[in-house]
Amino acid sequence: MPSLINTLMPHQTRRAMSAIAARTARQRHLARCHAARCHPNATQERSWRRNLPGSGVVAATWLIASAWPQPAFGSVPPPRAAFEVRAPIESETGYFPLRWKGASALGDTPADSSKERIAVEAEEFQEFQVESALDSTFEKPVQVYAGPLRETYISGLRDGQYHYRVRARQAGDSAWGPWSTTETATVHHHSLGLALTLFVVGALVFTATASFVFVHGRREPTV
Amino acid sequence: MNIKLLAPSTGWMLLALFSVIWVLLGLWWGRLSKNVEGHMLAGRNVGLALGTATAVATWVTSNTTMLAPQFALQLGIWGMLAYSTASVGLFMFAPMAERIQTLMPRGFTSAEFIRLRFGTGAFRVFLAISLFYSCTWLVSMAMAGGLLLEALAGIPYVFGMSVILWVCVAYTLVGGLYAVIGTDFIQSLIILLGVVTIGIAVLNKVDIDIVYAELESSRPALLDVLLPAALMSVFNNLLFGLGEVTHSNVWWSRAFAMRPGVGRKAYRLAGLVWLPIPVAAGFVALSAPALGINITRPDMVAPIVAGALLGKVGSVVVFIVVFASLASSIDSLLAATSDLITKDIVQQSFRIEATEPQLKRYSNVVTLALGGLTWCICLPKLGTLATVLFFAGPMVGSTIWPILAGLYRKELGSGYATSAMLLGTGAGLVAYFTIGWYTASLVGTAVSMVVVLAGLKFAPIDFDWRKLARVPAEASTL
Repeated sequence: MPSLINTLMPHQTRRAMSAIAARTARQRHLARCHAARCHPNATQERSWRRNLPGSGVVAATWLIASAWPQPAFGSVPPPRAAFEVRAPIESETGYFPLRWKGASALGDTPADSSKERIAVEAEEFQEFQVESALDSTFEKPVQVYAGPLRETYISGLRDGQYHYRVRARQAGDSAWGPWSTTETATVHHHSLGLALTLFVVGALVFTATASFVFVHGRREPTV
Repeated sequence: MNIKLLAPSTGWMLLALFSVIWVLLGLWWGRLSKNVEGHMLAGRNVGLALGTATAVATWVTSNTTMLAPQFALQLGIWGMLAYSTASVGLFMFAPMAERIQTLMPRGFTSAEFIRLRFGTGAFRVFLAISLFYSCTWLVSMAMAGGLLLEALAGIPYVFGMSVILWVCVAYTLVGGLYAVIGTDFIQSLIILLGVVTIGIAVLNKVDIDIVYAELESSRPALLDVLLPAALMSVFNNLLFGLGEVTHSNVWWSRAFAMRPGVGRKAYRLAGLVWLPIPVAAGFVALSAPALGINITRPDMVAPIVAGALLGKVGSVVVFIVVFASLASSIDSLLAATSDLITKDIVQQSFRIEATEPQLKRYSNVVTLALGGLTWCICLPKLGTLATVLFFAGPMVGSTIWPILAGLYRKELGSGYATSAMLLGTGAGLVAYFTIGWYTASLVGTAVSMVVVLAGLKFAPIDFDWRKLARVPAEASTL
């Protein structure tokens, strides 16, 4: 959609709309923060807002959104979140990407296509919390990520099963949505025997190669 | 992911400024390029300073700034060291560069050596491997350029990729290897200054104890001495780097271009200068968890951390270093691959009797066509080609021993050299798919080595070295 807006709208118009809309969006956000009793200049809010991609386009969409009747803030339930999973995560290296999605991507959107577009853009203003635990009941959870991005890169895990869950909330709101279903990653590194064998083979090949170059390099010239 | 360290206007300004500088420098040095030897080999008169600088700048690619940190983030301390072993390729090529000059004082390309030493069969296999590798590297650099400029400054991918690629095509076209080596000298200074600045700033702002404690708690395997994938990657990466340097015409053309006696020293010095760069880049990546920086793409970890720690000034430095490292590799690849195609395909197959002006014209047409082809492949923004580049690992690994034995031992025959490349490539690809990319070059090189040693032992021939030293037919017209 951003590319469609960029194509259809002249640059100057987009900039003007973005400027107006940014003010509108900021006013709306301040009102929401006030309703949620949060500080409008909270560090977290500022940090994720800085990272927003295409903020001009988002702001323009907020301008469009302002033309639609909005429900009262209190009636909007906290958004859901879920992991993007195509297959169970299995790793022989201890690293893998972890991705999740927000409300609109889960189908929590109005039937009306215009409102759906608004919801998609509003999702830009969601933030997420991802936790991991070694047990599926999350008795000792560890926070993996908190912020507006929808992915993180896990690495450096030892053998074992790691459980992950994610939840979302509208930025500035205190109420979190429900935890997602658990995603499990199984790390089973290559056998140490195979690794050491290949390490030794590598050392031998390298030693042979280096010796070959060293020995013959000293005998020059042999034309 | 969108990190946007710089405003697009600043990005465009820097891009325009350095594009103009590179093209003007290309024109300036291009004045020296008066004949084919000047255009392709800088008049065979490159000294120690320029020779060292061009080797360093060419070897500092976007892979060094993107992939070395990725190795550290994925494979830990071993990964960081594994990437730095690519410098061994430069160290080991040092004596080979001297040998190449001794054997082929009028030589032009690496494929020419294979053709004269092993005949047509090995030449075809080698050419296929070399062109696959060169084109993959070229495309991956141009693509990485577009992606990096988009991520760093919000410059649209197509514009960023196109500007970087065509600027390099322009100055390579007008200045040949003179322009490539000249700009490489300045680019290597920029890269070194930038990396040192970032390294010092990171060390001043990050407490190593905290980095260690954070890694130990959240990513403990990165500190493990016996991390299996990391153990396997150490010699694999070393041999991949060695294979790249040993076979690629990028390095052979520099060996031919250097003054007699310079090659050995220049490649040794370049290895020493290059060695700490991936270590510094890897350390930057390992400090990311301690700084609370969320990493979404492991290959972007270094620019993200540098930008986060150093603010606007740091971001400008990152942008300039990235641009310089990309340009220094793209220009070298364009020049070397264009020489390979002009000399070993066009001239060999169609225009044996080409005159010097004709040859220079063909070379320019090939450079332009190569630029156009690369641009077309990069246009759809397929993503990263790093995995495809790893795919070339067993291929280049399998060329190490045929070239080494071909350079130093007259006993190696053509059949064994060809079989070594084919069997090594096959075995390496099997390892790539059954175990992982971090074993492919190692297996490819090991199998190739066994075949070559068998050839030396069981079917020795008596090759006449003078066949390599003779003036090629085409050179008599120069």
